[in-house]
Amino acid sequence: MRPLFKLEMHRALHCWTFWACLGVSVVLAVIGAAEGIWKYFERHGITDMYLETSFINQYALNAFTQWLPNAVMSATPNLFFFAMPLLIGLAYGWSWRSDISDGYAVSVLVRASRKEWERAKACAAFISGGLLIMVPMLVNLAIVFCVLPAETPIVVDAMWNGVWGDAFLSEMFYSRPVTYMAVRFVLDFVLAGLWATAVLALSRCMRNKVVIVVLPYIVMLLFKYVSSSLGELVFNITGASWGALAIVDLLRVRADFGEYTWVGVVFCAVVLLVISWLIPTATRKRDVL
Amino acid sequence: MRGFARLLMCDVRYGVAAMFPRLVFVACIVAMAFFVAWVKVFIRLPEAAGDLSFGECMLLIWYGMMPYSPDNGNLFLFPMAWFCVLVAAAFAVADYPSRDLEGMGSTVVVVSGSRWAWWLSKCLWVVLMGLIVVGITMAFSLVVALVCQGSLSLAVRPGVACVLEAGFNFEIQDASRLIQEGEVAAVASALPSLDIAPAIGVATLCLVAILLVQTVLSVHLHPVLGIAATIAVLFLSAYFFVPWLPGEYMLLARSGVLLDEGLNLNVGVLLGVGISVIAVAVGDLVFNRIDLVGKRGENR
Repeated sequence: MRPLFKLEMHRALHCWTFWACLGVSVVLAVIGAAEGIWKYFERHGITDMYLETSFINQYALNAFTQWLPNAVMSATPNLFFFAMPLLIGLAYGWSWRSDISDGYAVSVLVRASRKEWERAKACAAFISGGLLIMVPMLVNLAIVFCVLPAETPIVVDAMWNGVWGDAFLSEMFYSRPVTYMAVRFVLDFVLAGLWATAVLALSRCMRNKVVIVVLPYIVMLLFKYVSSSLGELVFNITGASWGALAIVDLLRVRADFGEYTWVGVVFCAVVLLVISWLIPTATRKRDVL
Repeated sequence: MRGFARLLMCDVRYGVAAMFPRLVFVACIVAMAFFVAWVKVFIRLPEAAGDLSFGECMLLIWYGMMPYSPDNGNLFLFPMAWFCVLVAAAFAVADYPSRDLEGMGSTVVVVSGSRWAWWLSKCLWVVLMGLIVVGITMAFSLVVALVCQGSLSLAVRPGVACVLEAGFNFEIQDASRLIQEGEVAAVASALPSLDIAPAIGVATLCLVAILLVQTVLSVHLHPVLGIAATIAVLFLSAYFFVPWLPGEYMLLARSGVLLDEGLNLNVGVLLGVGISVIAVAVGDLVFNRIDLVGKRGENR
């Protein structure tokens, strides 16, 4: 397992698609940081004139609220999380099909068991997917914390930062923001990694590289649309709903529509895990030649 | 000229046939987007849902969203139905030109003796695919209008647009409260119907422009990066409200027809034509300099 895993990790982290996707996501993260900083100074200029006469928090926008997953009212952070599932799939998700079609898999499988190779490949895809989201988030964090004050956010400023009291882990966000950031890093790493392994698993059912990367993305968007529309409808009739379930929502502090809970996160993780496990198991006996 | 005509005929025949499953996929997404939007209308405005006109059916698919204002804790509610239809359209034209170039295309370029003819033929194929996608939405809307026995004009009642903006959220804005209280029929009937034909024409033009830019990126970089660029343009168009983003003109809710201070459609025409011409010209310039042999089998 170990040499195979090392080999696959080396391939995953040295292919041009990984670096291209990382480049695009880091650029988006840097633009996102610039947008957050610009918004902070713009608001700072507005609040200055009211400080003597009104209660107004100068630091309603700060390093915590302007960090990539928390800046829910800005353009670039939203775009970043919308594009990430596509970029994660492109980074290494197509590699299984590519290895089969160019003969690489055959030369590996005469030396190692198929199960081991596929497991190593899934682990490599998981880590590359996780890194692809974690690195830009770290870059964004570094820039934002170098420029903006790290003031603990207060809940009355929700109208400025968009993180209302019912948002996912909002109590942690407003009381222990550093812990919240650590949890968010782990959560995003795991979800992005699972998405990468699910795309890798789905590549067994498709032949075209573009279809492998884009089709799961479009299906996920459709699922988001239908589940959130139905959820909205059910919520307005019954007062209860399942919230957001699609990965594109769960990577951020809150979804487009409504909130999400641990149930949504676990549901998404389980679905991706089942796809990642079931398809390879079902197709393991297929001829790789 | 004859060689170009044959190239174009080949692309029309084989390109459309190769992408036929994706066009079916686009049709499925159009149907799904329409159905969810129709449920919104049915719940809020049952009297209109029964006799939707051809224009109203088109509006259900192409509505998008009103301009977003990131103030007072307003969350950005992305127009997913509109986005899914357009990403599916981008998917439908994603990789035929690049795949062709990696396979037989490079031989065809050599045999035809003209890179320009090959490139122009692919651009016209993209234009055709854009028109087919709009045609699918029109055909679907026409069928629904006929089934509903609604009018076959492209006129829409203002009440339908109000419902689409309010969505399922019963308290989102004043217009929806009017609807909830059953006053919308009076409001809608008091206002004249709006003709969305020019807005649909400009939306088609801008869709073709975006697809051409995507094709340039797809052939010269990678098809997925082309789609990623399209997604970025669509997303930024929905977030911002600026007349120089082509995606704005595909959000019918923001056109001057439906919005008082909406987008000027003449600017949309200029923008669509300008971007298309630039994309074709830049694509040709770059295509004249690339190594065709090195492209073979690159993205398989």
